[in-house]
Amino acid sequence: MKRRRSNRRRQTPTTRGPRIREIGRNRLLHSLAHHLQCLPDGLRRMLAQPIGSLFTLGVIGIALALPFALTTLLDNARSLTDDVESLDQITVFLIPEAEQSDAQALRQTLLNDPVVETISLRNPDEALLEFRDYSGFGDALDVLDSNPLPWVLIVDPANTSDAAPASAAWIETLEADSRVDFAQVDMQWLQRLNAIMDLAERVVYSVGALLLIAALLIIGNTIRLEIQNRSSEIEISKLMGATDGYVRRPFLYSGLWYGLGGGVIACLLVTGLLSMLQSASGDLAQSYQSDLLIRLPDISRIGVLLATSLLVGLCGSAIAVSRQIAQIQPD
Amino acid sequence: MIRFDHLAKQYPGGREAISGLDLEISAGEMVFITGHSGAGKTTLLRMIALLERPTRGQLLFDGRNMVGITGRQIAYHRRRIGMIFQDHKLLSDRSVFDNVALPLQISGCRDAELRKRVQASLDLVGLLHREKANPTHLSSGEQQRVGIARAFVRRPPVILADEPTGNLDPGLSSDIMTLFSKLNEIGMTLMIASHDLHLVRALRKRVVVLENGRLLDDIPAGQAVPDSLGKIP
Repeated sequence: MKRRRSNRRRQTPTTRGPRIREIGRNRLLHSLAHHLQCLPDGLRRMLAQPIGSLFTLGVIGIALALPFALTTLLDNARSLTDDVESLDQITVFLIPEAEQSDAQALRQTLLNDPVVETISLRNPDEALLEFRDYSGFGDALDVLDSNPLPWVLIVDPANTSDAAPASAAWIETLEADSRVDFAQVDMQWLQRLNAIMDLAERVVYSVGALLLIAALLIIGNTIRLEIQNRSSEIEISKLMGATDGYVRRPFLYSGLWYGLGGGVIACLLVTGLLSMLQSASGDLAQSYQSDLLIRLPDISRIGVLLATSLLVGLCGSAIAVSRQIAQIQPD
Repeated sequence: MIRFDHLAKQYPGGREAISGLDLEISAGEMVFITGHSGAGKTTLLRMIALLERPTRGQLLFDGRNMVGITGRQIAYHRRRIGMIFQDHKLLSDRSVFDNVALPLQISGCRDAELRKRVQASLDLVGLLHREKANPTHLSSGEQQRVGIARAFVRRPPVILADEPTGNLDPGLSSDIMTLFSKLNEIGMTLMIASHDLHLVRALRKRVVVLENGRLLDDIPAGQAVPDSLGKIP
């Protein structure tokens, strides 16, 4: 009672190639159209539950705001210390026997060096007067029968980025000169400041990385719950021939929106917070007659924040989606 | 259209749902699969849709062996099958129209074409006037008709129905069967797993009887179903 299978649908090889190509192109267009459809759908779904989404976005926003605020403040501090670094001077003390002619000769030689910007001469008599005025040891100095202070050259290095490391070797050669007693660079506090800045940078980056991971996990969990809520839809779609990619797409875009939304909230939080600090620091700066001001994040920094948050959203949802979608199988 | 060669399915634990089944369904046939509960009717349909994998034998669909296919090929295979379930499997968070449109959206059908096809499908099952309704506001019979419209909307070569009238009273059941006959007349191949021997008898289509995963009887269309089968619940 069994029937013979008909051969009517067998295709000849010559017609298959173009047809397969056409199917491939159609599928590409189809998935492109689906991408374009999922993008606004994800936003619509997020806005459909405004309170719940706002809570989630708030948490993501705060998690992203902290590293953003810290890196912005770090940048502020960094630009401040850069200014300080350029003030870096070298004080060259000549031997007590050196005369004015020695000092001037040395100045001329050093001025030919490209790492030197300017050199000012300080003669011992001036220095003594200055010392008398500022130190409060005026009476003690009267006891001395001669001026103990040597000729001093104050060297301003040329403002190149590698001036600091170069000067260490440069100072050695300088000290080899018989007219020079010793050269002193007040670098130690600068080095300490730099070390502190490096440490702060590392702390900020570690805390930032942890908070980014937190944001990633929050988004992952949100998407996981969303997948759970829509498991029957996923199951039925798979029954109707939806590929895993098709099922995954809306959730990936949801994650993207959560990331971007969190990024926008973080940006608003940090800008608001820093502009509050800015007015306070403005008063402080004024009392010091300085332009020491907290700067707001610039466009490129905001761009980096939004790109990072978008990426975090996408990664968070990708982690949740890849495991869960495969687990939901129609039964 | 569909051929089973020594097909067997063993579940983990050792129970054999289908053992060594040979069967061939031609294109354009309407076949009832009947038998006791646990005879293997559902497993058979599920294997065709690749919801279960056979442990032995071959399953040919349109001349192609389905046993080894994986990944997205499974999805593409399912697009050539319309499935109807006893519990309808409709999505309660969207309208009747959107439920029926789902398979077309998955296949990437464009808006105008999609609307036309969904409406044609709903018209066929007599529910065009309810397209904006939520499926939960429909009666069980109407829900099943939405399920049929959804299975049909892509005009697949094969429709599989697992106990489509299981929850319906006799009047509604015969409506559903009339609908299936209509689909068959358009040229679709239908496989319908059913307990309901009264309906099966009335339609005088081919009847495949399974028992413990084996082929017990294969009654061709037009022949009377013997009374000895009447004791199947």
